[in-house]
Amino acid sequence: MKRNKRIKIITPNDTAGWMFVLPFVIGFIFLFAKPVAQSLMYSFNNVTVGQEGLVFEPIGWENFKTMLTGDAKFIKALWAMVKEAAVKILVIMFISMFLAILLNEKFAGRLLFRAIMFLPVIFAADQVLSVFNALGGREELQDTTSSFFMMSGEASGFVEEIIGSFGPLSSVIEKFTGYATQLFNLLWSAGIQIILFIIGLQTIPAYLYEVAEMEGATKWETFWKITFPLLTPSILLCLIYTIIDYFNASTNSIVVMIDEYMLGNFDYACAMSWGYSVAIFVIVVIVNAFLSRRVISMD
Amino acid sequence: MKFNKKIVEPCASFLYKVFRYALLIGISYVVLFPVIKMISSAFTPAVELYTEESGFLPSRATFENFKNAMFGERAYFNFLKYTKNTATIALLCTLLQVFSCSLVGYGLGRYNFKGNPIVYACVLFTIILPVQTAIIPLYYEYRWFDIFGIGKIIGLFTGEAFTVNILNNYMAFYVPALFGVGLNSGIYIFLFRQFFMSMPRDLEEAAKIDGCNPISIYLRIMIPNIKPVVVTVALLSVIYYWNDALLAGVFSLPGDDNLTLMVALEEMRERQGIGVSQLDAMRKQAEHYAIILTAVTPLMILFLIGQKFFVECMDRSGSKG
Repeated sequence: MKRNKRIKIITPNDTAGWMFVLPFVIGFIFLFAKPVAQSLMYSFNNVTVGQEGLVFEPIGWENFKTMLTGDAKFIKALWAMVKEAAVKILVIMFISMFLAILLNEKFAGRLLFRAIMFLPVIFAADQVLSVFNALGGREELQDTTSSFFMMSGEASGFVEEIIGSFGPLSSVIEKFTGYATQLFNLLWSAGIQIILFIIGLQTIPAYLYEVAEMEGATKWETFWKITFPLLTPSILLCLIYTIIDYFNASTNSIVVMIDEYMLGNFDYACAMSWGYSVAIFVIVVIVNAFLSRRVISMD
Repeated sequence: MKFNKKIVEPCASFLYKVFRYALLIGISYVVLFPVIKMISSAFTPAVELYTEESGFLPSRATFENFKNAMFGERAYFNFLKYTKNTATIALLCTLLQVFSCSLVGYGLGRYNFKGNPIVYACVLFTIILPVQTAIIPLYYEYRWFDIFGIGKIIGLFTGEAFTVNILNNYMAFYVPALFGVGLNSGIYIFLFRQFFMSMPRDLEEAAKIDGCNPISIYLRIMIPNIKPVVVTVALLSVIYYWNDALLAGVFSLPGDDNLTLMVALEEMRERQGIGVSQLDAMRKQAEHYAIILTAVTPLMILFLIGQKFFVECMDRSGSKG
């Protein structure tokens, strides 16, 4: 095992590499870069619909200035979201890794449980999710969930008393019990991560575990010495996926804001989604730079 | 006091098993709750939903919600037509996406050509930028599509740029899927790249000594080795195209004949005002559940089929070591 080296040199042949990525390069230039550049252009203009298509009136950085200084909503929403995301993403990562490890073991009924964990991915359409909201399922469920996980009625009063007695720590604990009631939302956004982790676990060669068992390692040691290090590439993959998925979810407050502006103030909406993308990009680059050195790979 | 190892170990493992089942059942309950609720509501007569505090199971199951909404004489939701449209788009796009994304992922993961980091950065960029940003310019691009500049070159000779309208036959879905910029394409490329990178390097070297060219290495050695990823991506791709309402809402043709399921659902919800009476509203609501349930049933069936294959592949990938 050694540290991950960037991209392995397999052939010095440049053309073969370019041939493989050619479809994407064409698609990127004509069907992505071009419209995106147009939208960037829109954000420096005041766009109105005239008699012959769109009319542009250059206004410079006006839209971006409004976004960063004039419109307090954007920065506030972004900051609130980053703070919330930091905790939620970590919880999602933890839940999905934990469940993947459980579901990777051999026991009766694990296929059924795997299928259940994947269900949220199938029901991810806005139309379907909105029905679940309409059913009142969420609140009702949160009540039953919290009672399921933290006892009910008098018992929960007792728990609160205990929590209260912890003093300064109590607010932290309360936060965590709050997250327990949000379990539904978190589980419903962990489907793909669980699969990525299961695939990652499956790629760990079985002989390593056999050797560990022969050497008399405990399960705990095996996990920290074999499973966890070899799972680090999957952890990075999942983390980046979760960050992007979280920030681009269509129910996200800033995405909703962009959608709203899209109808009326189109150029401002373009500027906003540009600013938002840059923010996500910076977060992903920081996470990647910070973690990719710690990723351990086979061979 | 010394514990007897022969007694403690089985006890601990039994406790662990109980704990594992309890935890999994608890979590499954949380995940399944709204699904079960929706299914049971879809089979509950509207009157019962209206009058009673609805429990988990209806007192008598009925198909009347399904019949009224989709399959009866006065059906207002043309389920079969919408499903045909959706399935056409989802299946074709999935094929194209698996093809293009695995190619690009392979190129990025296994070839250290000049410009690789730049292309990879472009892939990340397509993932990160919200789809909404480019959707309006894209609409104009597809309405007057010049086939990647070829139309403009023709225009140099004929005097008028040659464009086609590809919005009129779902081509606006297929073309980007084929060129690696379809719905979620970036994520799939990223996934493929990651898994190709994690494969041992002697695979290719051995094949090259045997005289394989890059294409046959890709087709015969790499693809069979990452079957689980191919199945996962195909499954995800079908699901996301099936559930998509944003792109389908903008790029599919106007007119009831061309709607996809999710867009039709959205339109139905907008059209459907508040019912005359509360009972009427309840009836509409129950029928809505029935429609949603039917709309996701094909996906569930597909998943049940795919799951078997997919899990099998996941298990097999571990044994090669």
